[in-house]
Amino acid sequence: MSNPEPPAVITVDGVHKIFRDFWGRPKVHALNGIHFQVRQGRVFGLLGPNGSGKSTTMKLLLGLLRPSRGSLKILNADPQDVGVKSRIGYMPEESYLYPYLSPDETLRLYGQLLGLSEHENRTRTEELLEMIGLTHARRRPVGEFSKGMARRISLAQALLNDPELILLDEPTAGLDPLGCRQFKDLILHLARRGKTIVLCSHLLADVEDVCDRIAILYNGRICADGRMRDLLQESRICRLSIRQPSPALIDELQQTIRKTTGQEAAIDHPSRSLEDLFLSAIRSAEADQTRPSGALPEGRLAPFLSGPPVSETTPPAASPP
Amino acid sequence: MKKIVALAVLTLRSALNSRIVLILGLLLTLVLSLFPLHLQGDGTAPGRIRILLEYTLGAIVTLLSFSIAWTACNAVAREAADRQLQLVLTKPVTRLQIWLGKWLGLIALHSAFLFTAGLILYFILLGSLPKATSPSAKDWEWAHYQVLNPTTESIASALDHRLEEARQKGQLPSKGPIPQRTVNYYSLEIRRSLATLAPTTHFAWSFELPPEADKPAAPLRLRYQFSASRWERNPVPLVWRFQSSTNVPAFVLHQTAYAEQIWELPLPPGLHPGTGPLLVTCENFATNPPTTLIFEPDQSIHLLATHHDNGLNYFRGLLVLMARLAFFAAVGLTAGCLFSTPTALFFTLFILILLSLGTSIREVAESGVFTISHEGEEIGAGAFETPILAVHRAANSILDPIQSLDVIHQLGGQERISWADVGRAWRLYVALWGGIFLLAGLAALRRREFGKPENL
Repeated sequence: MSNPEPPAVITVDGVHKIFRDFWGRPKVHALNGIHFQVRQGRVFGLLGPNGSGKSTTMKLLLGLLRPSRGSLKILNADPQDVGVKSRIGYMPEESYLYPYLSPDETLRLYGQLLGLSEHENRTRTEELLEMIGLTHARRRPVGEFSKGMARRISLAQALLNDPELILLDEPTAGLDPLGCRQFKDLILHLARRGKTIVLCSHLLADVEDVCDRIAILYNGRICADGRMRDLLQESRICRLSIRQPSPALIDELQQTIRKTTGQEAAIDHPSRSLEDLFLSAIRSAEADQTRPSGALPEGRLAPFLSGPPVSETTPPAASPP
Repeated sequence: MKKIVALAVLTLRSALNSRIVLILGLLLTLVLSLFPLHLQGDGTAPGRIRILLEYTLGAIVTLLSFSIAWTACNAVAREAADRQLQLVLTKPVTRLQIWLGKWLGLIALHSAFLFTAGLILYFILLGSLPKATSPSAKDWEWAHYQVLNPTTESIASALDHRLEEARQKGQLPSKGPIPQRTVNYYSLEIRRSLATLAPTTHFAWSFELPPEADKPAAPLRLRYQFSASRWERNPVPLVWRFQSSTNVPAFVLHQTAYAEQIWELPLPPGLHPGTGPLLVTCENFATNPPTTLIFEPDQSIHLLATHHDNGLNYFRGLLVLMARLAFFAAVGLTAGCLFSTPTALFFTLFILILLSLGTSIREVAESGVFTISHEGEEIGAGAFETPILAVHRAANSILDPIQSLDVIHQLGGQERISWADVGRAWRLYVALWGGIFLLAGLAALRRREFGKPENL
């Protein structure tokens, strides 16, 4: 008997979002009827180029925007429901923090807004400051911090209430490689604890490292979604796997293939990289659609900057001695 | 409540970090140090009290009104633009808690400024009052007075009779409704004629006294002013009688007084046994030359109940001013919920200016007169002015109750501000108008999408 599927934490059903101007005229169709579900304990990645609708989806899930059509449910409640927000943690793309508050005051403020008891608030603030490595700078105003430090406080405030659902918008932007690694370990740790995590990012390697499901958005539509493993696997090519084959068996197989095909064959299961999948999804979506509302997936060089590739006009650079 | 307090403290911190508060502190210091030096008054204690309170307290309240309007607009509009409000809205906080938290924070900050500046001004006033130099100067000791107005007599039947008479004489159309402006004119005419004293005639005003009035420690004063039929500057002999009931002998006062001046007569305590009206009768003895006296209805005669708890009266005045600031905070916050910072400021300043224009609006709304010709003829609203008059009347119905709470003028005139006045101010400014702006602000907060991209 197979394990039952965990319950859906997020259900997005046919959501459209149209931004209108002051006079109510439609200006941007940011989302065009997207559907997806995120189940409990999953790490879900929302990918897409700039202007594809990732942040709009995130803000709809947080109740900061209302859908023009369709419906959203998070933790079986409407995103506008204030009560459900005590079970959510959100780390925004930019650190929308009060620059005159110190990390200590910032975390205490959000702890109070989350309704934590005084003791709980104090303890969690201490622990989070320790975790993000800012105990030494706890009294300095956040406005004096580097982007990376501010991002760490932003992350800490998202985790204050030990939320069931964590929404992370470009979480590793501005973090150093070590911070990124720590952050990814943290996400995996939280997922193991049954937390549901939704993250949107441009850093595909980060997404590949932590997400088990992804959806790729392009021009307000989902152009690919599913389990990461399924999406990256080239299903038309079959890979024979033999557990601990002897060198003699490998030689025999190579010779047989050489005889029948006349080529040296690598016996392997190839898999696409996430970048390949992302770009092919964007290209096919671009071929199907007219002009996108966001940025173009492939940057077109301005004419005054165009010129022949460096390799055609200049000899290859000399190797260092 | 914990969340509201957290948001109030945050708003307080935010305001304290802005330059406007620093500038406000500097300007208040300037006002408190320069105004009392330059405003000397007429050398009397009441003159000093009036000029110091009306100008200095007026300047303090004006500065605080602009400051609270500015910070209130920024409290929502700026945070929405800087996206800090987005993060707050992802926490389990209701829109009502956000609005109330910010409102309380703004009130706390500006009340601290108001009461600190008010206290300093109070001590400056205490230290700078002219010393009494003669026994008569005791009359000008620092006290404040509860102004008691005479009971207005019903003139309904006299008015009907007068209007009918005017219809028959062709002064008014024989049929159809009579404009309210005309009715008001005839009412005033009748009341004026009642209080017009020909030589050797008299008129009596009836006063309902509150129980705390006319106590030994707080005797009554009579304040009156009249016009005379002759322009000569001769004093007019008058006889004043004060009688509470027929069983008690009347207290009689003879006085000669000039027309067009404000007169005050200290009365002995115990004139009023505590129940029933106090009748104040004035008899005109100006027979040589014969002079008729005119007491303008509603303005010419008052009884003043003396009180000495000046500090408490001043405190009550500051509480009324605090309610006014709370109202401006509500206007600014709601404007900030609706618009971006510059538009919100424009809207809030418009409300501030509208309130300062309240007197002119009231005059037009009540009289229905926009223009007075060179011959002094009042020209009523024509076809073009009729809709404008309707706007004036609508604005007046909103502004009139607020305008009637002119506490700075009352404090300057040493008038008593009762707890009932404080309650009325808080009901009007905070509960009614603050509540209306709160509802509008909440509707705007619910409707507004704070996650909208900036360029839309």
